Amino acid sequence: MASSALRGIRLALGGLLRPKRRSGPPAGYRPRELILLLAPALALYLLFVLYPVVSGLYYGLTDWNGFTAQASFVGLRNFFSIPNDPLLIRAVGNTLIYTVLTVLLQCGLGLLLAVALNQKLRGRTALRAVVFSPFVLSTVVVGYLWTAILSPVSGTWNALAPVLGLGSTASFDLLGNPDTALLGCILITVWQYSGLSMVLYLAGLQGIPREVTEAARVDGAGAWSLFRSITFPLLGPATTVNVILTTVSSLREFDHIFILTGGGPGDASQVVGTVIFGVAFQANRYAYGAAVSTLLLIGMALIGVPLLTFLRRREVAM
Amino acid sequence: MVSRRVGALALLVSLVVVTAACGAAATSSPEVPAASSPAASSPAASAEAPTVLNVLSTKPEPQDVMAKWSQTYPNIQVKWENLGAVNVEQTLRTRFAGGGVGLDVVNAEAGYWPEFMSKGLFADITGESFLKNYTDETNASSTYDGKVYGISMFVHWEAVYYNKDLFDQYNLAPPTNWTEFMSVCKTLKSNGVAPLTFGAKDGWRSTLLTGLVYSDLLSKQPDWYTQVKEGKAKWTDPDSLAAIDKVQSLVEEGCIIQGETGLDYNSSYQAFYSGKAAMFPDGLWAIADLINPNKPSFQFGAFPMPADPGTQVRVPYTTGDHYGIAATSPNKDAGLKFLAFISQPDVATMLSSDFKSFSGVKGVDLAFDPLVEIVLPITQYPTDQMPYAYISSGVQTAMSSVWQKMLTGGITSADAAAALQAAQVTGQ
Repeated sequence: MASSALRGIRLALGGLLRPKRRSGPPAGYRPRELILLLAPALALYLLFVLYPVVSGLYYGLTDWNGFTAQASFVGLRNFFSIPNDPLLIRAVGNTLIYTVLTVLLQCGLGLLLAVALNQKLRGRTALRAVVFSPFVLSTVVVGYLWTAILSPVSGTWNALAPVLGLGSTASFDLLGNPDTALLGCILITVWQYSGLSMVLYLAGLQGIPREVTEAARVDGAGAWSLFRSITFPLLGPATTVNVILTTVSSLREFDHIFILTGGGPGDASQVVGTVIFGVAFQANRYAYGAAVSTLLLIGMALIGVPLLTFLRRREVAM
Repeated sequence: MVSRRVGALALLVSLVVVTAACGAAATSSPEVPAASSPAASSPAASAEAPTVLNVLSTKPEPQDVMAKWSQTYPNIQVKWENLGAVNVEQTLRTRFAGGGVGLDVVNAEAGYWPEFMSKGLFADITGESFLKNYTDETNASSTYDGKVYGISMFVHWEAVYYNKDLFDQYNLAPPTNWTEFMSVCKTLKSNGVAPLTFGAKDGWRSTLLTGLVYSDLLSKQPDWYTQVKEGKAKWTDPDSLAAIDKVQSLVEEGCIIQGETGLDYNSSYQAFYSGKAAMFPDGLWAIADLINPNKPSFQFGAFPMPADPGTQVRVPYTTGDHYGIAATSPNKDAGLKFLAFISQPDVATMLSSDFKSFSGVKGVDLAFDPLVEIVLPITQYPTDQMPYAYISSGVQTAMSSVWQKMLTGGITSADAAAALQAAQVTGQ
């Protein structure tokens, strides 16, 4: 089931880039039925995705405060203000750091866990469930859970650290220290989502034909060379899905940061998503927030599409 | 048979129309029937057309008050929606921006209430008789451009709560000025007790630190925040810089608990509650937590935020919990009845007790609980502007960041002042 889900995601991602090869319609092509089948999903997409995106672009060209009925057209003024916004510049940097580290750590850890839990181990299913379980928790729950654990005054880590021989870290303020707040958010995000990456990699591992690995073993391949030369290349599709999903969700990150640090202390962990929230809904500069959102969308496309192209090219056909 | 059914249906429709017409006539007066009168739930009330009145509040539904309401107005069903205390402003902005659908009576906090009034989001209730139940000062806080748009159910003061047991242990008296306050901090610090916590992680809590360090300036110029808003004063003025320097002093002297920037309101309160921090600046509304259900095991007290020696002490104050009727509400008459109802002293007393808050209604005893006596002296001081209510949310957001940077040593007083002034220009 996971394998078919992975295949579905791959098809969806791959369809964006696949070149047109045929000139005529396939056999049994019935456009009317096709349109009828597509219509509900298309209507929802237009209403809840495309319309907000287009209206966001429109509001980015106004001075709307998100509140009153009046909005004046100001052209590209909001967009020209963006390079002069030091908070946003810092947030862009943080977002890129957040994205790179989250992708590397989450996908790396997911791969390790998948390989480990693909072995014949006792309690393997239970372990998989344990690793996957943070993913089913609400981010709000995860946020408050870790805030309670890491609170330098009353966190459970205060009591646990000395028992584990880590007493010097008991009062370390991971989320309240400007030097470590962003890293703390990254680690907690990775903790929550590495189970998802593991499941996607597991699906990929289980899709690798046994005869391929057995043939390699017969040829004398050891565990490491088998992984490096056979398993990892054949996990290309799973890597594509993992990296793309993690990249996109990291670039538009909001919830972990908002709950864990609020972007602080002193803006040290601000990412673009939290800045948009702040300017649009706290400073009532909705139009500016919409302009930043539009640029974020463009930025995500500029990063996501080439990345997808690159990853798809390095996939090995089975 | 069919024609008989049609006839019966027509008769029923006629009756409904006639009854509705009577109801419409009956709703023209917002006066509240006397609660004790048998006629209160009366034929006039029962003849009203059934109405659902949406009440959007930041507090949970007060069961006893709503039971009394149902007896008084059986045909007006109140649908109480509790938004809680988090991000209420954003929620309300979104609801109003969406056309105000389903909004009848709306509860707004002091911080954004003036702006909401100025945008025409609330119905004019000037001249309603229940406004006489409030002081002129309280009504003034709900007045914009000569028109009254709501009522203020509760009023708020800010002070510094302190752990009396710890103060007694180190022979400390509540400080009466800033010099004494710093001396108290140093003594506590030298004895291994964190003097102060306020919950710097939560944006709005930054205003508590502002209230503390700007106490002297506000005591001298009680409307200083309004002056800043109107451009008559700046965050970069020398008096303001002196206030910001006090934050620097607090940091340098180690007066603020270690890890403060990682503490939200709850964690901060927990630090005070558990005796890890000796002082906790907050609104008198915190008495609700301090008396029940989280009453600390130690004796506690409260003192006004200290000004410099020789300056008359004032206390940050604001009206709050404003209730108004959305301008787009189709149920304005029912909304007026609701405002009149909760403005009655006996109902206001119930609400004060339910929500453990200080009523804004004249004649209602502030001491809704015996333990409230501890903080009542604070209410006797002359007042100045409470930062939370008079500083825009945009500036508060910047202020939170600025104070956090100062607490972590990442910014000077001058840079902090400049950042606040920049936020004032762009974010108000």
